[in-house]
Amino acid sequence: MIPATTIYPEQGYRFAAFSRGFLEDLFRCLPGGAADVELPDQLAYIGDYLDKLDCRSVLAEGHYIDRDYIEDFSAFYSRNLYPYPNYCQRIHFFTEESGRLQECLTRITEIGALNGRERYRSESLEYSNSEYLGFMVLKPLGGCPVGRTVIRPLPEDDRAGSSRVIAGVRSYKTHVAGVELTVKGLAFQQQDRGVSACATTAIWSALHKLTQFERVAVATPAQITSVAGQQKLPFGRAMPSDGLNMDQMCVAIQKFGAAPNLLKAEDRQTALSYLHTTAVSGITPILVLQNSVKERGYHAATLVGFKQDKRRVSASSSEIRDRSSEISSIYLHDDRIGPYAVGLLTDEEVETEKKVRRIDETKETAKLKFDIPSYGRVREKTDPEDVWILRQILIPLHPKVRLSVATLRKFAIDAVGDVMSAIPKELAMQTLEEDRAQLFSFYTAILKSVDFLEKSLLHGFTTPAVLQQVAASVVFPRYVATVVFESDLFDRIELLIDSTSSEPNVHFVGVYVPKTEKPLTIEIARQLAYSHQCSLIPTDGADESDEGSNES
Amino acid sequence: MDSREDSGMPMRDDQEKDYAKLRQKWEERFEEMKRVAEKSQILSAEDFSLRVNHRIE
Repeated sequence: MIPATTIYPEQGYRFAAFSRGFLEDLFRCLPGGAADVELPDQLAYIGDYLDKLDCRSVLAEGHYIDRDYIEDFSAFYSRNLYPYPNYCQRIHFFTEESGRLQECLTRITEIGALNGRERYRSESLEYSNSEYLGFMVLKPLGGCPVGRTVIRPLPEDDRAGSSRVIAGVRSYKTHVAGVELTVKGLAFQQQDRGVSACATTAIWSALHKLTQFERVAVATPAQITSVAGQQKLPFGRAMPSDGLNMDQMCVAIQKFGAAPNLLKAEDRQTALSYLHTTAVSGITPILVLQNSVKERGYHAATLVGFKQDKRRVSASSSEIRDRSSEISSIYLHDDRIGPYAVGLLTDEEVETEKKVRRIDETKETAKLKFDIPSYGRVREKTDPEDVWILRQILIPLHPKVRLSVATLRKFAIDAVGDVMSAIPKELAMQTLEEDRAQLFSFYTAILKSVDFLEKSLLHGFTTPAVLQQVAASVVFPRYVATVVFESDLFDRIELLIDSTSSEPNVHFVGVYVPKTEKPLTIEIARQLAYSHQCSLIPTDGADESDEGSNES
Repeated sequence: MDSREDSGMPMRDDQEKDYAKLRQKWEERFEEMKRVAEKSQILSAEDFSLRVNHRIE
């Protein structure tokens, strides 16, 4: 029966204790979420992840208009015969005891009323940092209920030489129960195969991170799929989505204000270095993966971070350590699984080799492979179906970053040679014979210059006085590329490259020496500056005279 | 003075040889790393036509 008047929806807040059962109850009430339908893996995974984060309570908003879903609804679901609602539910997760949650949120609003905006904001932020784990939008689609979901990653532990580096996150603000809550994470959602496949959702997550740096449009899945299909439709109609090709993915990224830097994953070490460079730079590349067994086309997932283990360095590279060798696993927003899904770096001798579908055996064994366990599968050892070969890396960069990540790598390798030559050979041999086994390590990054300077100060690489001197004397590009050298023999040295330049007209900003406590530091830095025809940063009198002598 | 010539304790012959070998190993490794980095940027039409459409079962 058609109602005579439209009833204005009610919000209907629900405070409850957190449990997997609570999420399942919500799912069962969705269209397509009948009792005999299995709980989607992504929802179950998120439930487990929240358990690990010690989630204890939830606040559910019954009527939430989600920008991404309403665009999908407008482009696709509104035209279905089945009358899908245009609204979602939004569930907020807290570590607070369920009995106290409502009281705590009320207290923040009362503090705000008594003390004004600044105090209200600071109380909200303090509470968020302490208790708020994030939120999940639950779409009214039983087949793919997990909409925009931002949850905090597990803490960066530092046990036994291993630690998580999850820089692919940003701050999100939400407003609920009169309180402004903040969470640091990266938006995840599952593919719906109506508006989006894995390619679209991976781009969507990657662009979310880019908005932290620049004012690029926050694209919705419907917009991404639609823009990608404007010029070419290699697989027929754009929606229902049957995936995108790399060409379309590059077009979509460019249309939303970023520059797509596409690289092939040629070998393990080089591919790992690209993942390391982007991850430490807070850039979220899209990884294009191929299953090692099944013929199912390619899969896309967004890299958000990695786990590093300093003990993980191959014997062949121990003397001069490429820091990317320390990656032991990666964290992905994989729409098959969930946010921060783990991909374990798989060694070449993995027992899947016999089963791996290979065109060229020698080429395939050199590729970078990840074991990405499917959620909920019980297995005693690596299952070949969970092994994915990295084929391509699609990096959304700011258009002002003209320097390719691969070109940066080449400059880094040249600079490594210079540093190696600058270390006295007697000292090099003595160091290696003393079983320290390492001369120096290096890695590369591309950072916004303001973030570079801030990091240099806050991580204790330099002193406020040196930083002031650098800021007052050096003209930095918007984004600076850096090759970082670290060693027990000398202090940190960075070769700074103007990221707006490109081969062959590359411009080296200078050789940054944040501290010069070890005598060898300045010798190596001068050698590096001389080779790259640039100055030491900060410049001192000794440096200038030395440069003069080099030129002569 | 070039720091490469800045000597502390003089090196023995066998150390000189070991060091020369190490340098050669490093240089070969760096050349290969640069070659691979260069190759990773060279894309063909086939690379752009990869279909990314993994379906969740």
